[in-house]
Amino acid sequence: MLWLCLHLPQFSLEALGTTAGMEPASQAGLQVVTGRRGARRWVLAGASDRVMPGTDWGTVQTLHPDIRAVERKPRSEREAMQALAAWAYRYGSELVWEITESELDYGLPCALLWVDIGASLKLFGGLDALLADFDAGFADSGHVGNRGLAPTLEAAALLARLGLSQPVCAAAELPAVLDGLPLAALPLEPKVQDALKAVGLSGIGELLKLPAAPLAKRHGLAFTLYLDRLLGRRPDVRPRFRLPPKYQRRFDLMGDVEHTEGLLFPLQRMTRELGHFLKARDTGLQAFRLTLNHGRASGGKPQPDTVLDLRLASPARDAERLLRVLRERLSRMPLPAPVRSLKLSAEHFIEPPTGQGDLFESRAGDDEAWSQLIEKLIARLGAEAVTALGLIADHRPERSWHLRACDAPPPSPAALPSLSELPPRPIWLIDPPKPLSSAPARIAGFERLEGGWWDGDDVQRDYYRSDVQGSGLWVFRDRRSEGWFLHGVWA
Amino acid sequence: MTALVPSLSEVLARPDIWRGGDFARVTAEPSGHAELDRRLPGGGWPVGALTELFPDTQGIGEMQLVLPWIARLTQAGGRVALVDPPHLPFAPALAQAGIVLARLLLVRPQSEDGGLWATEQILRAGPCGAVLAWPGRLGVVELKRFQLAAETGKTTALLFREPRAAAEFSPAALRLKLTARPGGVRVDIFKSRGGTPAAVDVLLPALAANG
Repeated sequence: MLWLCLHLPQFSLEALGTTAGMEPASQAGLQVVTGRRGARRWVLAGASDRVMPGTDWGTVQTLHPDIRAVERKPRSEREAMQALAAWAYRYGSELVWEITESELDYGLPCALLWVDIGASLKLFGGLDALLADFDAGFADSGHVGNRGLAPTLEAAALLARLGLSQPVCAAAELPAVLDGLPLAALPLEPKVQDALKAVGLSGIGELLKLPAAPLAKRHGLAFTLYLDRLLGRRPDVRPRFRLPPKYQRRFDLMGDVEHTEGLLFPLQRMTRELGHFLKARDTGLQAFRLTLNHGRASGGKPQPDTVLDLRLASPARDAERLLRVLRERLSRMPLPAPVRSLKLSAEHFIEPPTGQGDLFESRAGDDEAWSQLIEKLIARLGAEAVTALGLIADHRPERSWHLRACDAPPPSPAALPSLSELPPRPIWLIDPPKPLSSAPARIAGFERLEGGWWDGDDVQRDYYRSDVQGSGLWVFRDRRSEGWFLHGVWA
Repeated sequence: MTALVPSLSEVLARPDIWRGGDFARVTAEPSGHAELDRRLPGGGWPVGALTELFPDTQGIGEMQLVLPWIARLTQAGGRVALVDPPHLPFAPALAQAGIVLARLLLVRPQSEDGGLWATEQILRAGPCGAVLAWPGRLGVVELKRFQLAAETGKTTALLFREPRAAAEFSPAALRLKLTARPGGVRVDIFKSRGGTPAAVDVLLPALAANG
């Protein structure tokens, strides 16, 4: 096993979706995430050049009145971690993540993500190639952090926390690497740290030379178990990350966003994460939902969310395609109120057809272009404006056709009504029929249509063709009301 | 050495050689009306270009003029889009004309702008072999955009327009005025890129049969 561990010091800020990567820093202003216990409130992350994590919030307010505070949101952190894990899935199927609050550093959250890359080295063409790919992808993800590589979870985490990115590939090398590191780097209880210091120990190397049994007796079994896990002398059993069955991701915006253009940047990142999720699960989706949360109105009344249900013409996992559909949809919709946060969710997943290199590849590419075109049109014009036509076996002209969805499978030829006995019909149908003020002149051709008593829409009509100024009109006389109607135009 | 000297037929086959009296090499789709195809450059509706039709009133057979070609296109597996038609296309009539309804896309936007946008998108995307559109007022800018989109997507675009727009300038490759004639329609080809202006009477049996 070769664990790659990511240590994410600013994670509680990044998880809110308001990092510098999301919006231009000048616009975003400075923001810190605070933790709270009882009346005490202190800074956890953010504005790192001016405020140290752990500073009391009251002090920060006095010194830097321009800094805004946001409460830590553990739920957002979990979602962001799952999104990052979904991305990291491509480097290995064994994933572990943890967000813990260390006792030592003012309860600062410590976010760690491990992925076992041992089995993927060959796939990527060696460790260097894999790490280069990983670093490029990580830089893209909008997070900052350090990585460490070691054969055990604890050792990888230790190296990542210390910012030592030099990989340690074999368990045998571990003691030599750990030898030079200070004892304070170990995530131990303050009580144990102090006791070890009191004995005169300062380096990890010195600690490892001591016999295990007396150490366990003095500092508890948990301590020696930790050392065993660190060196790989004992297996480290932790629950592995599994992708959740449903997708849900929430993003809080820095401030109120009043124009749809302002939503596109966060959406770009959200769709990219969704793309990673779909790729990790090796599936795709055909429908998803964007929920816009508007927060509270000025009167303090919560405003209803705006829910956008989006459909694709064919299953997809491509982030660009998802973003394109969102963009088209948003471009034709004015925002009812400023947006506070965004939520992207999907419940049903469909595996997209894989592009097989077969004889009919050009046709497959054509279908792809067709799906994308339909999606684009529907997203902008609405599904009711983009349709196909279908036939229904019914005598009544207004019931002999229907509009179908473009992506619905075409009906089988056997299900289609036969048109061979039908007299010629006009190309255009006037729907509903238009009443005529007087009987039309020059009528010819006669056809009587009756039927529909069984469904309460009984018609008794005599149809004629009437020629007016070179145009052929399809008119009928209603036999009950004696009125004339225009029902179609030959063209 | 002699092998390097091309024969006359090879020279004439070059696309940059143009002979007087010959139609320029226009890719076109036969309209299905032999008398009309003879007069059109390339022998039909130009592919990857705009064609404008100006019927002097609605319902004189402008659809019968294009239906045979649409039927052939959909039967061959191609797709056709109707954008913003003046009325609802009547499915049984289209099926009677031999059109495969599953290959027909009907776009009816709420606004005129939506129609123009949709027309350009469909022309550019390419999966529809033909687009029949009924745009409202069109400026030269919109027409040029359509022309460019049709070239990009290699799509045949037929625009049905008001007769008074025929006097305006247009970059379309083919412009036709349509007037009613007993049993058919008179097609006045007043602009034809790569061809010569002409007028031809086209018989439309489907229109006549019922009249």
